[in-house]
Amino acid sequence: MSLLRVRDLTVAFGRRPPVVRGISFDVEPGQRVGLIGESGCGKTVTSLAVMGLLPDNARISGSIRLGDVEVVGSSDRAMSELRGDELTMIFQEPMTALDPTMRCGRQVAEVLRLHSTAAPGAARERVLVMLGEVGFADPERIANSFPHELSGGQRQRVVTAMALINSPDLVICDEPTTALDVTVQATVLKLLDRVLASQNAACLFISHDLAVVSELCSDVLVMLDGEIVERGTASGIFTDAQHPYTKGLVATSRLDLVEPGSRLPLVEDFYAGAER
Amino acid sequence: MSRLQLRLGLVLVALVAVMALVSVFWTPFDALYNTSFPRLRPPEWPNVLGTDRLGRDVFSRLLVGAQSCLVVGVISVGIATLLGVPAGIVTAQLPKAASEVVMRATDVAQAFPALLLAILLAGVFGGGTVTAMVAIGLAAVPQFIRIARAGALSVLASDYVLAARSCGSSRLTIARTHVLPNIAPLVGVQASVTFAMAILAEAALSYLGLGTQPPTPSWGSMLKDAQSVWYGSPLQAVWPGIAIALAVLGFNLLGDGLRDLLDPKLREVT
Amino acid sequence: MIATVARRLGVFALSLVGASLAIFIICQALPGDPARILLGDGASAEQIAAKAHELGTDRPAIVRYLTWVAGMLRGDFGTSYASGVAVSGLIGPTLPVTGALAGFSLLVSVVIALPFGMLAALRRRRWEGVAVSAVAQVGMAIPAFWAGILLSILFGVVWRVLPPNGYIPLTTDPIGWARSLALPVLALALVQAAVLVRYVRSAFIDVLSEDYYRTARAVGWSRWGALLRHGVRNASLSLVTVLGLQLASILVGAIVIEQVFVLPGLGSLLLTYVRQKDVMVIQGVVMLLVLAVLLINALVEVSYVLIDPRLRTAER
Repeated sequence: MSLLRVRDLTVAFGRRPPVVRGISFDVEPGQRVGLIGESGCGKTVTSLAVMGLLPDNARISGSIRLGDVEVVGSSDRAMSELRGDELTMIFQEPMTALDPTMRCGRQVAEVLRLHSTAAPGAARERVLVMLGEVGFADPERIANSFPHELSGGQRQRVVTAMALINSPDLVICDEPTTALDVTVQATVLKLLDRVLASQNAACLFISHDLAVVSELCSDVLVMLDGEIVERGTASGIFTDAQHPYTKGLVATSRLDLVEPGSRLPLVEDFYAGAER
Repeated sequence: MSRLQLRLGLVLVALVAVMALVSVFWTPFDALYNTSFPRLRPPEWPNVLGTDRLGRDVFSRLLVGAQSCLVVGVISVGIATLLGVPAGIVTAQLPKAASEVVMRATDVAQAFPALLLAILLAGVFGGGTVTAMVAIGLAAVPQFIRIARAGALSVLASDYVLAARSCGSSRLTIARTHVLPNIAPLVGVQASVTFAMAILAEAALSYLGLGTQPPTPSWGSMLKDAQSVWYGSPLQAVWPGIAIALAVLGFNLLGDGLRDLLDPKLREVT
Repeated sequence: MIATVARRLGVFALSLVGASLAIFIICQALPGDPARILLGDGASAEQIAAKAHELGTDRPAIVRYLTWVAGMLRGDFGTSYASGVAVSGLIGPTLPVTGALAGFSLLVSVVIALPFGMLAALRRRRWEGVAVSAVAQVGMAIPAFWAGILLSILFGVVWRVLPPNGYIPLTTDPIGWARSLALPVLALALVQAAVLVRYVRSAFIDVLSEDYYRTARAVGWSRWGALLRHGVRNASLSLVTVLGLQLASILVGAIVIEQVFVLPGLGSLLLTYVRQKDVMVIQGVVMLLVLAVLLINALVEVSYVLIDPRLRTAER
């Protein structure tokens, strides 16, 4: 049975035309799926819909099944119990994703206590272990720091620790490395790869960057204007793209193949509708 | 939403203005001295809102009360604008240390709320409409200085002012042609909100006997009168209160509506 | 952090000097010589001079100002010209009345405004949120003293469940004291709560759009849970400023409310002597009220440092 099963998902805000239009996809346990598309194509809305975190004015139809729970139409209370425990999300902006008035250790511990009845001492121990797992050499110091005392990469690792401390089945990553420096990006990606593997968690990885996705994911969905236009394995997409938009994405992500002196390729060279 | 606020605000403000204007030329009965009716009459024809403890027509007094409310509002907001806006624009051009001193002074001045200043002035010069207007106006000056200064600072930092300066425009010209038009919306919003505050303060002062003096009716002093007869005629304490609340609501809505309407522009300025 | 507090204290002291000067200068403008007014028209020049010497009004203004300030630092607010009573003796008994009225009003208004403001923020697109905002908008327009009059009529006269006016000291009868304060506190608090609801709403709307709120939701906090746990502290950064302003307007509102309910507080004292134009009492009471407002402002600024860890480390 699939871990996540999305069928005919359509999301619209207010009276405006839908931003996600009847998409369907599956994520198997432990599978890593990349969801690729330009900004505004509906990928973040899709992820928020899976989390049950769409704003009040969103109209949503179709079905999102997480295990044997139907997300669409289920109460916020029921979803709150799943969020942070079985399903979790890592957001784009590590600089602002943490509460500035609370020490990092407490914020991680809080997630643990929300979903279990661990004793404070044991919880603290578990938090320090988790901070170690996301690559901190001195978890104690990090736990006692306020977010503003840490760098962007460090904060993103704290956020990752928060997301993974309850060993969730599914982790949704919404461009978790976009706001980071390129060098830090690589470290955080490696770390994500390791932690996801060690916990055998499935992952829906959202990005506009095919190169980043192909490093982490086995399968890829390409999203355009609220629809999934192409799906396949990460390696297959590179060699055998069908949709012109995907071809454009592939060409722009393989700049190492461009002959020196020639013009760099644009997505628009392949797909005229990409720029509007 | 903001359109609705703005419209409702305009309607209420217009209502008060019409009440005041009509009462200048006509009221059903003389509001000050006609005591020919039975005292504390409940609402019945021809006294649609009843009569007060001296037998005067309450509806007529309510209409005339709109005058004091508007006059105090206009004059005190006028004082605050005329003193505060130029002072704010000048402060924006002062050297940093001098500007800091002015801002600290406005901090101290803000520790004197309108009502307290009015009571203090009433204690020295005696209570009355003039004292009330001056006190309410002066108490609002710091707010206008702040807003005008903040607005002026951002306008003065803009490229078109730099361009004007490089063409040799004088400071006064720049203030008149660039700063004033650009901060006018901000000042307008502040004026509307201050107007509401002034109505509340005038009502409270008149209630305390330090604002509009008898026999001239004002909504605040009508409530004072009503309080002394509430056993017999509790409705007397309702009408003036509703009038005050509607007038204040009107100006508050107007201010909010304007602010929302100007919001994209405000965001640019501040 | 200590530097912040010290600098703030300096500003506070300077503000006090400025405020006391302003009050003193305004009070100097009182037309007429207090000695002459006290003795009436029949008094001879010598009598007036003697009285002026007794009152101290024949000394230069700067000396009188310094005497006044030096006295206040010792808790001595001077002597009433008219009655010859020590001003501090007049002020003393009024402080618990006004203090309780203002303090409880602030407390009640916060207790009302916090949940409703949060509701208005969370449900701002639904009817509940719009309704709260609309009620707050109307509540802001209601003069506190009118609310007081209506409450007094309804609860005190029509239903007879609470005293319509009057004050019973705490030491005489604690229950009677609470009952005598209930309506004044309610009148002041309801109107202040309406103002406060709007600020709470916009502060929490800001929180709702913050990334850390989204993170909190993603790890399993419910809407209210996330707001309470991560919102209140962050929102309070902007709310303490408002609370400072609120306390100032509650103090002023208390002056009027004391008249409605005939409470023997600072406001009643002030108004009694305003009618008699007794400058010493007026300047003393006004100075006290302004001192309270300035003190609150200073405390508010210091409290930022306590709430926001970013400011703490910046000072280190």
